[in-house]
Amino acid sequence: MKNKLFTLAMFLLFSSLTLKGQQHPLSIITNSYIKPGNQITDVDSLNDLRNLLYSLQFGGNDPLQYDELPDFNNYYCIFDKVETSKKIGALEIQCSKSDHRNINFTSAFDSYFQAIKGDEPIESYIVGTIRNNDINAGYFYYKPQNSLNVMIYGKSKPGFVRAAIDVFLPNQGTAVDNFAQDFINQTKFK
Amino acid sequence: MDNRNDVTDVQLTNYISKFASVFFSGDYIYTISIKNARYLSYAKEAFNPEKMKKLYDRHSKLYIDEKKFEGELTVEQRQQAGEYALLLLFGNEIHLTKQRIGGNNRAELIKRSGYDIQQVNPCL
Repeated sequence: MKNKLFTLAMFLLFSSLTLKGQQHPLSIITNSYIKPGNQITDVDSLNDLRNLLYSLQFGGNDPLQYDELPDFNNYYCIFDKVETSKKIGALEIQCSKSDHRNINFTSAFDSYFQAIKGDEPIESYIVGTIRNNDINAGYFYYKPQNSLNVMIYGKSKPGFVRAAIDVFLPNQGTAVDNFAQDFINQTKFK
Repeated sequence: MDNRNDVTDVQLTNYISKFASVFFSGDYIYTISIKNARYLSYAKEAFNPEKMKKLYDRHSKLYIDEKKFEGELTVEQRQQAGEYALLLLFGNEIHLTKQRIGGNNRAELIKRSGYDIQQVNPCL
C-alpha cells in the first residue's frame, strides 16, 4: 500500500512538472530579451524591480505590488541592449503552442485592447501592429503609466504570446514604438 | 458635496451610503452602491486616477491570463475581467450588481472568489 501511495505521489509530482514545463516561454519561443538567467522566481525581486523602474520614470513605488507570483505567468528582468547591465523592464509573459492561424488576429487583438482600455480615450495609448510572414502582433502602451501590452499569434508556426512589460522609457513616443517593435520582431516561435 | 463646509459628517455619511452609480455595458445595466462609506472615504484619500487605471488594467489582464483566453474575447469575458478587477480593488467598499436589459427584472449581485466571478440572487 505504501509503495502504491509513493508511486502515485511521484506520478502526480512529475505530471505537474511536465505540465508546467510545457508552458515555459523559452520552450516555445526565442527572444534575445528573454534569458534563462534573468528569470524572476520570487515576489520580492519582482516588486523591487518594478519599483525601481517606476521610480526612475515617475518617482515613488509602482502602484501595483504583487502578493505572490501567479503560477500561470512567467517573469523576467529585461536589460538594455547597449548598456547591458542596465535594467529597463519587468516582463510578465504567458505563452502556448496553440494554433490560432484560423482566428482573425485583428478581432482578437481589438477585443483584448478593448477589455483593458475600458472607456479610457484612445489618445491615452500608443498602439501599433506588426504583420510579417512569421507573426501577427499588436501592442498598446498606456501613456500616463509605464505598461506596455503585447499580443502575438504565430503565422508560419503555431504559437501564442501575451505579455505585459513595465518598462523604463523616459522618451515616450518613438522610444515606445522602437522598443515594442524590436521586442516583437525578436520573438520567434520554435 | 464633500467639499462643502456646511455639510455635517452625518449628512455626508448618509449621502454616501445611499449613493448609487449606474452604467451600461453590452446588454447589461450595472449598478454600484456603497457597502462601507468609511472604507470608501479612506480609499478616496489615496485615489489617483492614473495609478488606479494601471491597477485596473493589470488585474483585468491577470484575470484573462488565469483563464487562458487566447482568442477573440466575448463581451461576457471582457465584462468578467472588468468585474474581477473592480471587485479586487473595491470589493470591501462597494456592491456591484448586473441586470440584463429587458431581462427578468432581477438584478444579480456580482461576487468574486479568487479568480472566479459569480452572479448571485441578492435576496437569497
